[in-house]
Amino acid sequence: MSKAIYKPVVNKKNAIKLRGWDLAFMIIVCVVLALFFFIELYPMFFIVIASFSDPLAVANGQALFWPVRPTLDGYKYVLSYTVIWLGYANTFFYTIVGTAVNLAVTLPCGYALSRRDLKGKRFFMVLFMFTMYFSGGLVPGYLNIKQFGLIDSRWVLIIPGAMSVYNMIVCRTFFASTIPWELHEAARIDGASDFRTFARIVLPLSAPIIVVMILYYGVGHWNEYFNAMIYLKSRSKFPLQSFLREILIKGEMYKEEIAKGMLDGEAIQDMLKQLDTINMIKYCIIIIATAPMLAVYPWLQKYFAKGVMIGSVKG
Amino acid sequence: MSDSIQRLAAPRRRSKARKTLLSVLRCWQVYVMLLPALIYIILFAYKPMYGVLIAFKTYKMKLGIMGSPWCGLDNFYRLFNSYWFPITVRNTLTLSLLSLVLGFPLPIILALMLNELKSEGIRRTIQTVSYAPHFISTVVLCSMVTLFLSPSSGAINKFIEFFGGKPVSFMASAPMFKWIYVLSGVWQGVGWSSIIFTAALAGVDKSLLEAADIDGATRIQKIWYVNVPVLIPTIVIMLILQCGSLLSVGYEKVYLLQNDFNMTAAEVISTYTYKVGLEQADFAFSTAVGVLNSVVNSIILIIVNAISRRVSETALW
Amino acid sequence: MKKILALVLALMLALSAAAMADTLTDSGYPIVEGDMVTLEIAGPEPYYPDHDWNDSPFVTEIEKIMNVHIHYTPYSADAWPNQMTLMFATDELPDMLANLNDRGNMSYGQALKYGDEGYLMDFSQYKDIMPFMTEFFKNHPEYESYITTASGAIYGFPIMNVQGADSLSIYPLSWNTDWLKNLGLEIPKTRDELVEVLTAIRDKDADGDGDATNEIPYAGGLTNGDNLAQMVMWGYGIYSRVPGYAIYADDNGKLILGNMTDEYKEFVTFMRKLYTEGFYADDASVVTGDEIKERTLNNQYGVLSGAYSEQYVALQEERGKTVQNWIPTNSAFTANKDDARVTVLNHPVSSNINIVANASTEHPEVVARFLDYFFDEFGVGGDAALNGWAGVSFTPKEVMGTGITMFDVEEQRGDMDAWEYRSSVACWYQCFATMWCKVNSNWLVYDYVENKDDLLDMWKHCSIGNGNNWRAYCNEEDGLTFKTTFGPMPYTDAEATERATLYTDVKTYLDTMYTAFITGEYDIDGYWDTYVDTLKNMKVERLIEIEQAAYDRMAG
Repeated sequence: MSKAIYKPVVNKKNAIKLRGWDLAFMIIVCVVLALFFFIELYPMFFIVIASFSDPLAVANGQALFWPVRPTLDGYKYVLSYTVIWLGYANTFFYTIVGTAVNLAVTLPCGYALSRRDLKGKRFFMVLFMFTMYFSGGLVPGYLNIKQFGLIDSRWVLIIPGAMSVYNMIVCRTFFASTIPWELHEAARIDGASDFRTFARIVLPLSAPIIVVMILYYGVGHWNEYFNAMIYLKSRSKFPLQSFLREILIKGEMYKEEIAKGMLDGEAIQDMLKQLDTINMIKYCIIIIATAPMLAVYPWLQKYFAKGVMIGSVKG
Repeated sequence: MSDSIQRLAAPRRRSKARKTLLSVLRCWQVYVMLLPALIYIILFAYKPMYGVLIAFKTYKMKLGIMGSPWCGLDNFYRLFNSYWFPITVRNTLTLSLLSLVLGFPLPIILALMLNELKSEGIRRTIQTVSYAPHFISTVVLCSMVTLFLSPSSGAINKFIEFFGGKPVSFMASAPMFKWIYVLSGVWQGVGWSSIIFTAALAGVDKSLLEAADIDGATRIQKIWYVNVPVLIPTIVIMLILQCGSLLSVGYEKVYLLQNDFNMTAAEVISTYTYKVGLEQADFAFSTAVGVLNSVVNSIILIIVNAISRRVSETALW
Repeated sequence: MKKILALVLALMLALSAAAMADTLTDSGYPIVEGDMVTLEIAGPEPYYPDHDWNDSPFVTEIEKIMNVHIHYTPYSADAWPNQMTLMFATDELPDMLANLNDRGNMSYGQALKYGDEGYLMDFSQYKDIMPFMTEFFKNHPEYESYITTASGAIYGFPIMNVQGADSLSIYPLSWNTDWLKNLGLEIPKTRDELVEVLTAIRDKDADGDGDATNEIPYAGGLTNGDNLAQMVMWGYGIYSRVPGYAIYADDNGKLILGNMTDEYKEFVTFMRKLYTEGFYADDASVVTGDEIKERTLNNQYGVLSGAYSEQYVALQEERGKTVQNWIPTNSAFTANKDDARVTVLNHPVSSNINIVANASTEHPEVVARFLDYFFDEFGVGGDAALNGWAGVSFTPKEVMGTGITMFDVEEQRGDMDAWEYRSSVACWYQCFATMWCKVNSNWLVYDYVENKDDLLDMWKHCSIGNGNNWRAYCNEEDGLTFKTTFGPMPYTDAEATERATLYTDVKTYLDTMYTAFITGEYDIDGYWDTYVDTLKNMKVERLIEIEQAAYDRMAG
C-alpha cells in the first residue's frame, strides 16, 4: 500500500531544481555529514588496521593509516579458541529467543500504557519507573533467581531480563504520538476488540519502533556477559562475550603480574609475548563480535524508510 | 451511554467507583496486555527489592539482610563526611550535564540531516558506520583514547604538529578530562542514539510535506514545521529520562581514564565508592551511595516531568 | 534456656560428627585411612586454565600422599569476586577457597569480617594437629602476629615470604652501564651524584652516535609509585614503599605519616628539581608501557624504572638491535657518601589472604592437616605448594659444570613455556602456597651461587633465570641496611570500617598532591600549610590513631 502513496511525494521537479536557500542548505548538510562520516569511520578503520598489524607498531602510533607488518596471528589465535564457535551458537540462541520474549512483553505493555482510556495509568507508570532506580542488588537478586531454579539454566539470560522499562517507555511514546486516537475509536465502532486492534492495526503501523526494539534488545543480548558471569556455571552455556572477555582479562592479568614483578625473567618474557598477542587480539575481538550485528543493521534499517502511512489511514 | 451515566449520578460516590469499574471492564483486554510486564516486575524487581534496606543497616551476611541490625543513616554520614564528596558530586554533574548538552541534540540533528539525503545507499552507509562504535567495549575504547591522545605517537598530536602546533598532554590535564570523557562518549553514542529519532521520523505524514512543497516552503521550513513537530514527543521523553540519570556516571570508563594528574576533575561518585569498596568490601556503604543517587535522580525526574507536563503537555505520567 | 539449647545442639553435632567421622590416622601422612575423603575447593582461575588441574601430576601426587581427593572448581577472574560473595551470602562455601592472593579480593578486612561472622575456620584452634605450622610460627613469631586478628584468631593464610633478602623491593632502577662507561661515570649513590649523572646523560652524547640530544635520562613517570622517587624518598629517612601514603614506624614504634613531615617537603622539592631539569621525557606524565618498551628497545634511555632489563635484552636480540648492559640498584640516594645505605623491603606478608577454609566443613581436621603439609619450611612440603616434588615435577640437575644445581625442565616441557609447564605439572600458580621459603623458588633457577661472576656469566648463557635472586645477591654484596614497610594490620571490624573512607580520602589526596607539587601545579612553599590543613580536615589524625592502635596490637 505504501508504494502507491509514496510515489507522488517524490516531486521530480523539486528534486532536481534546488532553489538558492535549499541548495546552500543541502551543501551544508552534505559537507557536515561527510565530515561526520570520516570522524566516525576513522577509529573503526583504525581498529581494522590494528587487528592486522604488529601490535607494537600499533602501540607506537606507526600503524595509523595502513597495516604495518601485516599478520593474521590475532585472528588465528582467536579462532583457534574453539569455544568461540560454541559462544556464537549460544549467543544466537540468547539473542533470538531473548529478543522475541522481550518484544512479546514490551510491546503490549507499551501499547497498554499509551492508551488514553487506561485507568490507573499514572500508578502503573510510577510502579514501573520505580524499578529503574531501585533494585535489590546482587545478593537478593541471586537468591530470587535461585528460588525460581534458574541458576545455570539457559533461561536465566532470557526471563529475568524480559523487559527493560526504559525501552517500554520508548515504545509507549511512539504509540502515543504516532497512532492517532481516532484510529482506536474507528476500530471500536467496527467492533474490533482491543487485542484485535493491537494485532491488526497498531502493530502493522509500528514497524519502525519494532525494529528499534529488535535493535535495542538484540544488541543488549548480544553484548550480555554480566548475568552469564553470575548465573551460569557450565561453560557449554556461555555466550560469546564471556569467552571473548576471558581472552581480554587474561591480558590484563599478564599486565598486572608483570607490573608486580614477582616473576622470574623468563616467565616475564613469556608473558610479554602473550601480551603482545593479546594487544592485537583486542582489536580482532571487536571485529569478530561486531560483524554479525553490523551485517544485520542495513537489512533492519530499511523498515525505517518504509514509513508509516498514517495520513492515509486518517484520510 | 450518556443516559446510563445520568441515571447513575444520584448516589454520587458509588457511581464514580462504578464508572471507573465500568471503564476498566470495558477495556479489560488492555489490562491483560499489561499483565505479563506487571508479573515480570513484581517477581524480578519488587520481590528482591528488600535488598535496598542494606543501606540503612550494618550488613552481616550470616544474619541476612532482614536480620542485620539497623544503623540508621550511618552509611550516608560516612559519605557526607568525606572530603571528596562535594568534589565528586561537582565532577559527576559536570560530566553528565556536558554529556547532556552535547550528547543530546547531536543525534537529533544527525537523524534530521540523514533524513534529507535522497540516496538510500549513502544514508544506510553513514548510519551503519556511525552505529558501529556502539559495539566497542569500554576497556578498548579507553585504550584507543589513550593511544590517539598520546603526546608522542598519538594521531591527534601528529595532526597538531603537522599544522605547526605543540603536542598537548591531554590525558595529564584536569581541565581536559571532561572533554575527553564527553567527546569520546558522543563519538561512540551519537549514531546509536539517533536510531530512535530516525524511527520516529518515519512517522512523518508525507501528505504534509507535499502540501508544504506546493506552498513553496524551503527545506529548512519543512524540517522545522513538519519533521521536528513529529519528533517532539520522543525528544521530550528522552530528555526527561536523561535528566533522571544526571547523577549516574558509570565508574568503568572514568576509572580507566583517570590518573593522578586529572584526578581532581576525574573523581566521580561511582569511582570514589569503588575505591572505598576496594579497602573493605562494604555492601552497606555502596548500597547507601546507590540509594542516595537514585533518590536524587528520581527527584530530578519528578521535577523535570512536572515542568514538561506544564510546558509541552508531554510527560511520563 | 539458651544454654540447654546450645548443649543439645552441641551434643547432636558431636553425635552426627561421630557417626560420619572420617577414619583419620593419628598424625603425619596419609591423613585418612581407607576410603578417600573429598575436599571441595574453589578459587579464581590461574594463568593457564587450559589444563585440567584436577588430573595434573600435582593432584595425583598429593592424593597419593594424603589419601585425600581434592576437587578444584575454577572461576574466571572477573567472575570470581562476585561468585565468592554469593558463596558466602548463600552459605554455599566449599571446604576451602584457595589461590585468592592474586585475584581473589580476600583482603585482611574481609577475612576478618567473614571470620567474625562465623564463616571461616579459625586455624589457631587446630595448632595441636598442625605441627609444621606451629613450628613455623615458633621460628618466625612475627609472622604469627601479622596474621592473627585482634581477637586472637587465624582466619586464613597469606603468602609469607621468609626468604629474607628476596623480599627486597622488586622495582629497582636499571642503569645503562655502557652509557655510564662512555661518560666516565659510576652508578650514583648520593643525591648530588644522581643529579650529576642525569645531567651528563641529558647534555652529552652518552650513546656515542654524534647526537648529544637524543638521550632521555630517565624512563620512569611522575606518578607516586615511581621507583626513582621512592629511592630518593628513602634518602630523606621516609621508609615507605611509595610516596602516596608514606606511613612508617619510627624506632619507638610510633607511626608517622611521612607526607606531613618537613623531610617530605624537602623530598618533593628535590623531585620538583629533577622534573624541571628535564630528566624525564616530555611525555613522562602520560607515556604508556608500550611506548617505553619501544624506546628501551631503541636504546633511548639511560635509566630504566621498574623494568627487568633482562627482558629487553632478549627482545633486542630477537629484533636484531644493539644489546646494552644494565645493572640494577635499589637503595636510597643519600645526602652523603658514607650515610647508611638503606633499602626498604616489601612487607613479607602478601597483601591479600591466599587460603581460607569453611568453618562448617565436614572435615575440619583433614583441612587443617592438609594445609599443614605446606608449612614444612625446610622439607618437601614447603616446596611442594609452589614447585611440586623432585621426580614428579622436575629433575634436579647440575648446570654446565658450574657446580650449580637447578631444576631442569628443559627436556620435559616440549612446546610449553616454563611457566605454563610449571602450572601443568606442579602448582596452579600459588594455589596452596603459604610461604616463599629458602627451599623454594629454586625451580627453574640456580640453587647455590658461589660468586657474582658465576651468576652473571650464567645469566648471559642460560635462557632460564631468576632476576630476584640475582638482585638480592647483588645487594647483599653491597652491604645494605634493610627496613621493612608497613604491612597488613589486625584492625578490628569497626576500625576497618571507619578506616576505609578515611584512608581512601587521604590516599587519593596525597597521590594527587604529590604530582601536583612536582609538576608545579601547586607551589610547594606557598601551598604547604594549606596542604597540611586539608589533610587535618580529612581527619588524618584519626586515621593515624586507628593505624597506631592496630600496630600496637600487632606488636603485642
